[in-house]
Amino acid sequence: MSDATATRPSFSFPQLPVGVVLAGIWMLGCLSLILILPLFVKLDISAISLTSRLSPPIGFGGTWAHPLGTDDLGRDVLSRLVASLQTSLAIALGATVISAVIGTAIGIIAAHMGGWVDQIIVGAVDAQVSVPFIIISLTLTAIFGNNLTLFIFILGLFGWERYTRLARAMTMASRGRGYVLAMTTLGFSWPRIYLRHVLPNIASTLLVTATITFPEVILLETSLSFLGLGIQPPMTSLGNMLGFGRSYLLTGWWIAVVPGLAIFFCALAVSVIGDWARSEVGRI
Amino acid sequence: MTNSLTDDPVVKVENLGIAIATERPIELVKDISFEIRKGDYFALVGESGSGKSMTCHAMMKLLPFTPLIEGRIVVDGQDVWALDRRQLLAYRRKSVGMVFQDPLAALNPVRTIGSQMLETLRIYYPNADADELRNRAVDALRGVHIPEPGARLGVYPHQLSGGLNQRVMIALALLGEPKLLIADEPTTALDMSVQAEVLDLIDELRRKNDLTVLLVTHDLGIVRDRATHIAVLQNGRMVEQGRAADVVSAPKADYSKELFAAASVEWPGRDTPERKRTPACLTFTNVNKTFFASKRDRRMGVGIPAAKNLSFEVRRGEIVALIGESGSGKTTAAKMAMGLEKPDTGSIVIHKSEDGKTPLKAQMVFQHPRDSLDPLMKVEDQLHEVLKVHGWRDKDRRHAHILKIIADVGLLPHVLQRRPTYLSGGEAQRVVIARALLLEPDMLIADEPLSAVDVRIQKHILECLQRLRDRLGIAILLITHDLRVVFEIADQVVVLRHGRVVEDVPVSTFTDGARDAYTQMLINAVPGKSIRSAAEALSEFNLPGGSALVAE
Amino acid sequence: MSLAFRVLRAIISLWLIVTLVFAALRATGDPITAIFDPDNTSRAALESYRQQWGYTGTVLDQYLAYVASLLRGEFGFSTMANRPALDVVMERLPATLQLVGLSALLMILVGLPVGTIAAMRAGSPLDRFVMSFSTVGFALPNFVLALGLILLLSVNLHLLPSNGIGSWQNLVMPVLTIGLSKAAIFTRFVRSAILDTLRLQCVVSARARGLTEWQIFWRHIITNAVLPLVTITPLLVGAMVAAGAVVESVFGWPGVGRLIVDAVAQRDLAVLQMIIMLIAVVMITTNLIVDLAYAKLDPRTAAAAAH
Repeated sequence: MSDATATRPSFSFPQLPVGVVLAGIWMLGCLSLILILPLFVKLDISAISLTSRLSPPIGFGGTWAHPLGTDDLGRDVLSRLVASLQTSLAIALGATVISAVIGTAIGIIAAHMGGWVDQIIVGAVDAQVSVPFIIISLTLTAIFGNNLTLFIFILGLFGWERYTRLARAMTMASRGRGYVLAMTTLGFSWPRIYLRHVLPNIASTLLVTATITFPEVILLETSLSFLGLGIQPPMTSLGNMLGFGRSYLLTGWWIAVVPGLAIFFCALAVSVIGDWARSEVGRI
Repeated sequence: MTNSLTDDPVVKVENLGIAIATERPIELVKDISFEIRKGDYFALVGESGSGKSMTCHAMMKLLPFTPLIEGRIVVDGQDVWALDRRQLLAYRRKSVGMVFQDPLAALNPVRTIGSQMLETLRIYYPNADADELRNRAVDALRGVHIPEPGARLGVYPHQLSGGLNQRVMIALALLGEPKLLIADEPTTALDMSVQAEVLDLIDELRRKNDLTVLLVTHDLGIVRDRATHIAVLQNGRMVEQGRAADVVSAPKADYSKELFAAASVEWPGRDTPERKRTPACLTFTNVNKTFFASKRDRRMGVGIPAAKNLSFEVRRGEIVALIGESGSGKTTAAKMAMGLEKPDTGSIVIHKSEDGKTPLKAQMVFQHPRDSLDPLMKVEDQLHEVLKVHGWRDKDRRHAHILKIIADVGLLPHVLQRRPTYLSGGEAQRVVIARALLLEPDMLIADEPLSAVDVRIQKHILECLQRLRDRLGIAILLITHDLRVVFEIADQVVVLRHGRVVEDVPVSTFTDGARDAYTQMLINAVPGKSIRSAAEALSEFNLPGGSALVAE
Repeated sequence: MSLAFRVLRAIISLWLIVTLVFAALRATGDPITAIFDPDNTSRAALESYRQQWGYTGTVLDQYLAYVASLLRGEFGFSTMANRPALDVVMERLPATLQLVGLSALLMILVGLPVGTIAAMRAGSPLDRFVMSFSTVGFALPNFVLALGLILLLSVNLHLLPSNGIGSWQNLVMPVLTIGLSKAAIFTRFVRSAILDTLRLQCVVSARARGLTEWQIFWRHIITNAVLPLVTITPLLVGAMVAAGAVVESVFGWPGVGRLIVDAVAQRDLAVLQMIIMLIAVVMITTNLIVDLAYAKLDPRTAAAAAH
């Protein structure tokens, strides 16, 4: 190819696959459900009404008073669903941010310091990878009991090793061959190099990792809550709704099915978006 | 249908067009036509992206995607793209053999050389027993001059050097005694000294087996020495073709002219002056450095010597070329000069300026220009940042300085607005040089600044470096493995081998006959000028002191 | 790295884990008071339980006693079941092994062929379908799948029992749940491993020599594709263990997974420690085997180690 400069590609709206569009719509729908609906409709998650126990949702014999039915204590499933979505999604988001920040920082430190610090961190990453996380969470829950702060802390630990591995590898790559080396010869300080140059360049890959980890955090939280070891009543999460609904599969299947489907679709939507993001980033 | 008339060409490509079948088809190659006759050595030449490799893969129907094909490819009387599966198999086995660029990648890493040879041999001798196959394999390896062929059968590809692996590939390709050998950049991934050997082997096999050769390369030196015919490709189109001697001596198309001019080797005349007696900038004195693979190796003293009693000097206003093959220690020397690595023993002194007060400043230029720049930031911002970090607070002053430096390296101001991804290789490398010049260094250390760049742009960058020396008086330590670069602009040549200085002379004396054997081999390996044939001729006559009699 | 060194490292890892867990479990307070309300139980009763379950003396005493008993083959006393923890865990092990074993089999039987075909026909509608199936399988939590299966096959169709152990009918749903759920991920891995191999230059080169696609597949593609698959084996084993905990709880399967959930709920520290050690042994052994297998399969690693 001649030495002609590459022309800058004109910006065109990326063509989104159907799946990604649907996923986007679902997530927006959830978000609006969480944020907007409570402004219009009164939602009470603990209003017990023994007269309307186990009433089915709309379309299966129910009324608009309770569009998604009620549970064994007459509590409105829709309200509980909205509240659960809030809890589960907020926790998942928080946990993802925590693990991303911590993991990335550790990875950069490992790459920068090298030597025995690096070895220890690599060892810790390897150790973490070989143990299934749910076992760790179960253990920590057993040790420290069931409280909310601990729970969020545990979830915030999930996946740190992925960010660390990536950040470390990419930082090492930048350091060895490229602009990092050049900038040290030009007299730049390390904080400047990492924060203003390395981080923006590795951010997109890390972001993609976050979109892949996010659904896994949702699944982890809901699994633990399902087993009774996560979110405790009176707080409600998708997982513990499902856990309670388990006993009523025969008489009130919607109590379990509604949160079950919600978990599934949320995890699916974020996965689809994450996969698409990964292929887009890979193309840059 | 087999070829019955010896007059028919072995290869006949008619109006070949290859495109990727997307919504708007992307054309890779358009309207290419050429013929190769029996016994020809046909060189397909062009820069990266010219479509030469694509054409070869198309001749074997080995494209990695499903293409839209126009025109015809007829090899050995068969229309390649019209063959059915069975015929295609027979075609690949009997008519053509192909050798690829990276021999290590082209061999299965988890299986031995022997097993890969045997599986191919079984195709041709299905009834042979194990011993017979093994013997044939050994013979094939012997035919490509692999020492101890029997032992090599049990060896894995990563245990052999690049040169040996490529010979194995050639042996494999020729097992079926094909009429045509296609070699797609067979020497690009190899060291210079090995390149010549592999090309010699192909020449020899061509003569012995009456082989027709199609060689793809971007290295015009090879073409000048060995090919009988040349075709030049640019951006997927054929620009020129004809007999090698004609095309090389009198290229008709503008592009060909540029290409050959850029690749021509200027052998330095003997009347270039002696080494300048300017004060030194950088002095290496008895520097030693060894790399150990592990702590245990360090204890046992088993290491890779990167520098052994390394001593040389770079003087003001001169360009010193530090030359050597991979593993010679030249990159380590560059890093030590910049202070990025410390020597084990010995001293590296960066001298002071004329008033004796401030030390001279050195800056570095790297091999992969786009890697050395932050891919996200605009060029302008990156250059400003360098000055900001060093205390230039006034924005306008910075801007003026940047514009001046940009002009010095021969770039136009519009590159400032670009991001590095949108710069061409040559522009990017000059931006890197400009960045290095911002702090007004007295010396530049350039580590293989030309390897990642096409031949015509290499010339621009070399001119840029010359300008820096001539107009700004900057000393340059140029690390390279390419002798042609050295001949172009260097004043002094230092040859490294395994960390030792083998040669440290002005470039004018460099091409005299009386040189160290290793250096002589490096010189001989430079394609494009047959010094070798002169030396060979001399040795036949057994004349003493051959050096004085080597005529240009 | 020699075998002996690796085994030694494995043992040290194991010991570290045991110590860590012990320390953590004891650090949060007296386990006896966690189980029995000290106001309502007599001191004598508390003391006797303490003696019986081995929670006497300082933490250090307890640790030393613990290590000593470990070496003797005693793994503590389960507070839930009032029996030695070793017995409790070992009793449940066969059930889990059966479940995990069959699930792994299902995962491989589904994942290998499907992933391979998807890779060979990358980009085709079949491939896209397989990828969708994989994404869906990944997003569907195993307990949701489990409950869904129960709803369909037990509650509505009355085909299979939703609980318990004993006959093959009890096995079907649990194995399907874990097996299919992991098959989704495994398929993706297989597809990616084979796709990467298809792009290798040695495959192109083999084709150029006129080898048949069949020969190329078995001799060049498979031999190279197994390498990344072997590497992810520990990951999959870990995932199965994790899945076991949840799925066993849903189906009332009396295995080690359900045991750990119960032990957490009831703070049965002995059982918890025992199970964690068991899992650690399994993971470490798996990693060891994988390391050795990989060294055998990829001759390049032997060369690297030799330097």
